[in-house]
Amino acid sequence: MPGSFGGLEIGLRALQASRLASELAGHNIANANTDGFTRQQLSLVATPPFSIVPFNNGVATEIGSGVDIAGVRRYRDDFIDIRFRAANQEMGRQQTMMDSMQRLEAVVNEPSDGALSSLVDAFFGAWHDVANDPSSLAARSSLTSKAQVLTARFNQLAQGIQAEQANMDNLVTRRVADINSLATQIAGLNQQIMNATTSGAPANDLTDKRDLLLDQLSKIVNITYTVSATNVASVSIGVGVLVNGLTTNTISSAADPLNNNFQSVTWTAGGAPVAISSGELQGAIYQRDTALASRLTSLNALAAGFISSVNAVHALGVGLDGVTGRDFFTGADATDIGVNPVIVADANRVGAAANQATLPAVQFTAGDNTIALQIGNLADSKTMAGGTATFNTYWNTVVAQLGVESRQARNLQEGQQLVLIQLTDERSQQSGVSIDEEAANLVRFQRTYEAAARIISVMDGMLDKVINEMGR
Amino acid sequence: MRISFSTLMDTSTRNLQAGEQRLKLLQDQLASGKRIRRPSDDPIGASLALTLRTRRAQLDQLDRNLGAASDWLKASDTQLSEMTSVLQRAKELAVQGGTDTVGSTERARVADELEQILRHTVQIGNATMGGRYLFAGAKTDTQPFALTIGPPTSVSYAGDSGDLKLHVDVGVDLPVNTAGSKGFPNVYSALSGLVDDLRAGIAPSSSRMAAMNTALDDTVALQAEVGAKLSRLDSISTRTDDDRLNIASQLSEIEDTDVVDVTMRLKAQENVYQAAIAVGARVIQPSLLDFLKP
Repeated sequence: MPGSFGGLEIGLRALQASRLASELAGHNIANANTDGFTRQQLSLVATPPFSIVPFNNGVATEIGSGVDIAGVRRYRDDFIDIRFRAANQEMGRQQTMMDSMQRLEAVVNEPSDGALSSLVDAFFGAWHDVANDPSSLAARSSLTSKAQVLTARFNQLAQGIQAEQANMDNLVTRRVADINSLATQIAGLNQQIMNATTSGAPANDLTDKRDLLLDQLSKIVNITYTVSATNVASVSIGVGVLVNGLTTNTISSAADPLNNNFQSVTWTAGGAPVAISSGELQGAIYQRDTALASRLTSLNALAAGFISSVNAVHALGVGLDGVTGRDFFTGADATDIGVNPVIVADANRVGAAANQATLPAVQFTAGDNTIALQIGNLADSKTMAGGTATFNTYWNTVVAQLGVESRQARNLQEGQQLVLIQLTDERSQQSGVSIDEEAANLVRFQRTYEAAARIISVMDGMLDKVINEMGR
Repeated sequence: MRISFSTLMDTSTRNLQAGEQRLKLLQDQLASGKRIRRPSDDPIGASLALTLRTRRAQLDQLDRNLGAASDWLKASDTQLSEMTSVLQRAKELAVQGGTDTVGSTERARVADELEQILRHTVQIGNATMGGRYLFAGAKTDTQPFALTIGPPTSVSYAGDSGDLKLHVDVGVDLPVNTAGSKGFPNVYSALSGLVDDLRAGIAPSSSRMAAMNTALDDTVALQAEVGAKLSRLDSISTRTDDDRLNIASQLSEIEDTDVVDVTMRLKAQENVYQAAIAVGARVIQPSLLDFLKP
């Protein structure tokens, strides 16, 4: 290298490179446990050589001039990221659905002694007890109290399902807020990254942060994203753009009167509905509007069937007080079914006997149990599902389907979890910090640093000889 | 393949958690004694369990209905049996009072005893069980028979001919009562006629004797009907008892934890878990830093 002090420059460059490399190894080790951290390595390149012409030979030769830092390399595979986020959104959806189904199963609580099917059995059994002795006030009171336990259970079940729907609705509201917040943060990071890149610094750690936000966002809703050549990310949900470089479009949720006043999600500007197809948001909406809603419909149908079948027969019955035409149940479906308070007040009013005259005349015998027997036998009559199922078989089918769907949700979630674990490992393989590797690097750069220091000492020694001792 | 630090830690944690989850599941099954805690544990099993439970509840109810039916029939049987033996005595007396060699005092004495028998049979007709009249048809709250000593002696019937049906088997609503409108009127008119005749000093005619025989036959027939129903209930009861045993064992097989099986698996899982913990500890400790000179 021309000039006397060139050798020192080589040593200096080597020192700087080794020192920076060690610092970077230190940075990696420090962040070994940081979420979303991608390991970094110094990219070193030889500085452009000088050409000199040796004395005897006229052909130019190139002499190296040391090392330079080309940049900091970030070990990240974008393709793994795309696959990870796709799996993550599916996981979000399955997880939400699985959790909700399990909560619904806890509400339904079949099979067990206090559950709906047991109470239905007990209700019809109580009618037979009255038929066995219609004059017994004890049997009648037992009937009205068992009927009240049954209607209370109907109410409870309906409320339980509606509560879970409200829970899912609440989740929708929270996740919409989360999406907006994450979008704002991503746009903010885009700005910071842009500032950093224009000033020449690589924005590796900022990009890591943004990638972490994208991971979180992908779990909530189905996003597609692109990263421009200038490292600015744009995120969309369906065709709508959520983050466009430095600006965001917010989404909002509002009560929809056409859907039980549940939240519907739209783009704030323009009001178009957001095309939600996956993620926790979709899971919550599906549960709320389909899975839970259909169970509520079935439950209500069962209660309505009860009310109409029992009341139809009971209206023909005469109580011990000689009054006919009474309803046994009040209400229209599972949310409001109840036992007629007039009958609850005095169980003698239960219409167990048949009317032997034509209305409006009433004639009955006290020991007659015809109507009680008929209602008791309703347990075996196929009044549900268009005349193909008894009350019990109808509910049995509902419970079985619930079990199958919940089981399936669990299986899908477990499967998806395995996929996600596989992808996490793949990502970690590429981007994760290996302590052993960094430790070995530290040793390497420490030795290189020592050697570089040696270069300077040697050069210094040579210069000292030239400057101080030559030609004295 | 490159293994990063976080992969090692995550894998360890994940395996331990999976082990804990399996342990918890087995513990739950053992503690609760139930194999199916929610429908998704075994959807087909849960559906079957619900069907069996309903069947079990129905059989329990049928059992109660059978008991109530049986009580009614047995009470009727007892009363009718007494009626039969009392009528036998009445028939003897009628024959006695019918011979020509009997004097008026003798006839009066026979009339007295027959009147007592009449009162007795009216009492039998008004028998109750648990506050309800056995032979009043559906009017179980009304005393069916009222005796007026004449002449003319008669017994009026205030009940009806209604059935009391009880649900004793699937699709079977069995009438368990004997209405006082069947057979009893013949008994009372035969006895009343005899009493009136004897009091009037008339010897019982052959038609009166024939009426007496008919009354006796009717009572025996009523008793036979009750007996037949009781024996039918018996065979239903035997069958439903068998059914209940079958269902109880089927239900237990589906719903209950197999304690031996689960305990064995719990033990095995505990061993696996301990091995996983030991491995985890060995794997996460050493790194190159331990071996480098400081």
